Formats: sequence, C-alpha cells, structure tokens
Amino acid sequence: MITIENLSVYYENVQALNGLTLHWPPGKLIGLHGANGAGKSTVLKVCAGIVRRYEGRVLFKEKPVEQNLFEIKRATYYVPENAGILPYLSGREFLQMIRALYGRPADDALLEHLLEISGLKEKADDPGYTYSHGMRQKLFITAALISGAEALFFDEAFNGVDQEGTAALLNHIRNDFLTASRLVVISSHQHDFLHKWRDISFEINNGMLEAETEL
Amino acid sequence: MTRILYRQPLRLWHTLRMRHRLEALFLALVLFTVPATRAHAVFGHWLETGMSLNRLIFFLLWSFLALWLLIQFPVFHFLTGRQRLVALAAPTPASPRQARQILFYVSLKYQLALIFIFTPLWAALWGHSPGGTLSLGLLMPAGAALVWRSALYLYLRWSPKPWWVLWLLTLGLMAGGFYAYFWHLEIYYLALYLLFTALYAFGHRSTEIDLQSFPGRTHHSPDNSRRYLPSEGKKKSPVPSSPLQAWIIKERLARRRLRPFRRWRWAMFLWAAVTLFALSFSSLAEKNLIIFGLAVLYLWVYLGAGFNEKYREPESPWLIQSAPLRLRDWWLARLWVEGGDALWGLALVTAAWQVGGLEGELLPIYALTLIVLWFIFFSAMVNFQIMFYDNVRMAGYAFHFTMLLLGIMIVNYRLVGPLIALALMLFFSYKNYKYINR
Repeated sequence: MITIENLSVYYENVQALNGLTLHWPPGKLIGLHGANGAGKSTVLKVCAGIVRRYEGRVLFKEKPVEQNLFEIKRATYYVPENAGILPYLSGREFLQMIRALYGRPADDALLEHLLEISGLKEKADDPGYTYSHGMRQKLFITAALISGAEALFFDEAFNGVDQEGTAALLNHIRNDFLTASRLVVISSHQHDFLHKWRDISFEINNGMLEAETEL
Repeated sequence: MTRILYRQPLRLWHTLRMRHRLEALFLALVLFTVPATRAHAVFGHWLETGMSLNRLIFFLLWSFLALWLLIQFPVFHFLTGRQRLVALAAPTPASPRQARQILFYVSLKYQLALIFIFTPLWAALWGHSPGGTLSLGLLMPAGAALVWRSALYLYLRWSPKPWWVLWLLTLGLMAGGFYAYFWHLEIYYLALYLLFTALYAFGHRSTEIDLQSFPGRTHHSPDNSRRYLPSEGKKKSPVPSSPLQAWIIKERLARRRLRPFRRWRWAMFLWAAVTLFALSFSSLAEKNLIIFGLAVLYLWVYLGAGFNEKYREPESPWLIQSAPLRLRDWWLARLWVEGGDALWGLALVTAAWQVGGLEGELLPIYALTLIVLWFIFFSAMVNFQIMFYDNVRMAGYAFHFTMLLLGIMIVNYRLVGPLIALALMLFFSYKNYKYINR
C-alpha cells in the first residue's frame, strides 16, 4: 500500500531521515519503533502529506504522494501525540464533524460503539475543554477510526491512554477495522507496546531502517 | 537579561524565509516613506507660514511624549500583569534592574505603533533642519526613557489607589504642555524633563519593584467554564452530512460558544450604532463621509479581533495540515457564518446615512465601496489565518500591516489602494489554494 524509496528529509540543517526504504502492505497493523528523534514522526507525516519537502519517492497505492496531496488527505488520517482539541465542541460533535469532513460517513451505530469501547460514552456531550489528556487522545483515535480513511497513522497517539482503553481500541483496530484494503501504522518508542497486535515491526534509527520483523 | 529578551524578535525574524523578509522590508519601506514625504511637505508649509523650527520640534516632542505617557498607565494597569513573561518572572528573585528590563520589554510592545508613527515624522524634519532632527532624535528617546521610568515608580507607589487618578493628572500635565506651546513657553521643555527626572530619582531610591503588583494572570488562572458556553442546551447543533456543512457548524459554534466573542460582537454593534447615529443627527458638514470613515475603522477593529486569541480560538495545526477540506468550502463556511454580521453592519450604516440625509445617487456608491472594502478586509483575515495558522500573532501583524498599507494607499492614491489590496488577496488566495487543495 505504501512504498518508500530512499527517503531523506531535512529540517533546516538537521537530517531527520536518511535514505529510508521500506514497504507497508495493505491489511496489516504495522509497529514503527525507534528511539526519540529516530525519525518515526517524520515518516508518518510524509505519508500523510503533511511534510512535503523531501528527497526520494513515496508511493501510496502505487501513485506518488506529492502528485495528489488532497486525495492523500482524504485517504489517510494522522493522529499526533498531542493534538489540540477544539474546546468549544463536544466529543460527539467533533466525531460528527470528522466523519462528514472525510465524506464517507460511518453510521451512528458505529459512532456509539466506538464511544462505548473507548470509554467516552459518558463524556460524549461534554465540551472538549473538560477532557483530560488521555480522553483527548482517545477521542482523536476514535475520530481516525470513524473517518473511513484507508490508512491510519498513529504517531505515539496512545501515550496517556489508560490500559483498558488501549486494549479495547487496539482490539477494535485488529478485529473490526483492518480489512484487506486498509493499513494501520502505530509508532511508539516502546518495543513491547504492540507485541500482541502488530503484524510487522519496523525499527528505525537515525533516519534509517535498522530492522524489519514479520511476526 | 536584555540580550535574552531582545533576541526573541530577532529569532522571529530568522524564522522568516528570504522572500518574506524582503516583503516585510518592502512593506516597512512603503509605510515609512509615504508618511515621511507627506509630513515633509506639511512641515515645510508650516515653516513657510511663520512657525519657528523650535516650536515645530517642541510640538513633535510634546505629541510623542504625551501619547507615550497617556498609553503607559493603562498598559501598566490592564496589560502588563497578563503578559506570560511577567507571570513567569513574578515568583523569581529578579533584581530591580532585571524586573525593570522585563517590564520595559513588555510595555514596549504597546508603544511600538507610536514609534512606527513618529519615526517617519522625525525623519521628515531632516530636509528642513538636520540639526533639529538630531536634537529631536536625542530628546525623544531620552524623554521616553525618563517618562517610562518615572511612570513606573509612580504607578507602583500609588498602587493600590485608583490608577486613573494618575492618568487624569497626566492628562492635565500634558494639556498644560499644549497651552505652553500656544503661549510660546519653550521653558516647558526643561520643566517637563526636570519633573520626570525628579520623579525618577525619588522613585528609584525608595520604590521596590514587585512583579506581582500588576493585576492580571499572576492573580487568577483562566476559567474555561466562564470562557465557553456549554455544548448542551436548547439549540442542539445539527448533524453535518458534507464537508462544507461540517465546517459551517464548526465555525458557527466557535463563535456562538465563546463568551468573550459574543460580548465583543454586541459591544461593537451597540457602540457603532450609538456613534454612527449620533453623527447622523449632528450638524457636521461632512458627516456622511465621516460615517463612512468610521464604518471602515469599525470593520478593521471588528475583523482584527479574529487575530486575538481572546475572541477566536486559534485553529489546531493538525486540522489545517491534514483535514480534507477544500479552500472553496473554507471560504464559503466563513462567508456563511460572518456574512450575517456584515449585513447587519451594512444595514446600520445605510440607516445612519439615510438619517444623515445622504443624497440618493451617492448612497449606492458609498454602500458598494463599503462592501468592496469589507470583502478586502475579510479576505485578508481569512487568508492570513490560513497562511499563518501556527502563529496567530504573525497572522495579526500581517493583517494590520496590510490594512495600514491599504489605508495609506487609499489616502494617497485613491483607487490604487483597493486595486493593490485585491491583487494581494488574489495572490495569497492562490498560495493557500496550492497549500490546501493540492
């Protein structure tokens, strides 16, 4: 689904990625690991069309990402570690907005189900500013799942989410969300975090691929 | 400390790309040159018609110091304590010198407009008297420094008594200076400097600088439950089914649920209604033109609040970077949500013109010009909010400088101003289109 060839990214004079090459097939849950500053976020941002200045080739479904960035936006969903919430919208309103923005509205039953498993049902009608950090992350993860995007990129997005919520959301991703045409990439600096759920593990270090392990 | 503080604007400058730096320099050059050449001609006329050079220097110096002083007390009272830097430094054991440097740095921000206005006026004097320009160049910063320091000590010693008493005294002092100008009492220079020197010397020896003395953020933290209206209520928002509808609802709720914005909108509307109708009932000869000018000023101020985090929640960067919303929908949503306010405003101004007896054939011309200007202002607001989504302050600077440029161009070259502004807005829209739609 995503092929990266010889990808290099520079921020001012700092090299974030250094000739990275890898392939993420569809239908898989990918674990992307590496130390802080290894380049995990940059890879995901390039794939989501957020970082647009790079050297090398990035293909999404065999088409270069830079040739149709708007379609990439519709087909992917990137969740950062600390996304700013819209404080004036309730959780439910936020999810309704996201599913309408992506133009592939999921039905209300799925929305309610996701609110249930993420543990946000009780808070769903409260304004965003009342959400704790963990709740915000759960909301953004739920938003990604309701968007209908084909490829989801979770950039350390599970940091701050409680164990129960993490397990429920990852179970949903593994058993219900992932189909043969979808891809989920979850980055984390903790190796053991995804051991029960991931299909393939990628280890990057200093902007280069260090190891690829199929599980 | 000084080096750390003043390195911040330098850092901001270094974050700009070369093209943006050149654009900023060009804009600064225009904003400097146009008023300077105008002022040069006006000063020349005054000097030819009998005004002495000393009196002109006195007048410029007095105007600068009067405004500097008048602004300073409200800044100390309402704004200084709210500055993040002051709140951060308040619990630290800052020396009096460091505290003074921090306070000057934060108050300078609110005096920058004054400096921008007076620099071209000061430079305009050069063509008439280089010596006078140099002496004014020494007297203005020296006077500003003395005035600032004495005002600071006076404010701190006076606190917690009502600050406005000092402000009224200042008004009296500067009004006295203006009469001295009419009575040819140039000795007022000396008296003013001696007074501020004495106040400074007295305050410097006996006043402690406590950064917690300034009301603001150091005393209370913002309460979100007072800032936002609850999301539940009688008016439940509809469920969106398209990207455009989703964005319209989001924009509408961003305004409806923000209490400070709601208050601001009502205050602006009432204030505009009172002043515009008061003018329309007056017997001023050019009252309809003044109403027009005032309406433009209100537009600027009202839309300028879009860059104030108090009245508008800044966009989340992830939303701008990755939400699949086309620029067309972005614009339509903003037009839909903000167009209502514009129509109310237009109705208000039109009613004021009707009451003011504006001739029938002039009314559509005035109204159409106002609509074009609103569109330019509105375009600037939306474009800069998208372009500088991660830096609200920078977006605000870009907006206000563009409006200033537009104003100067209209005053000097009439139609050229709106044409340049429209061309700029088209260019910025294209840049945003490239960023968002491609």
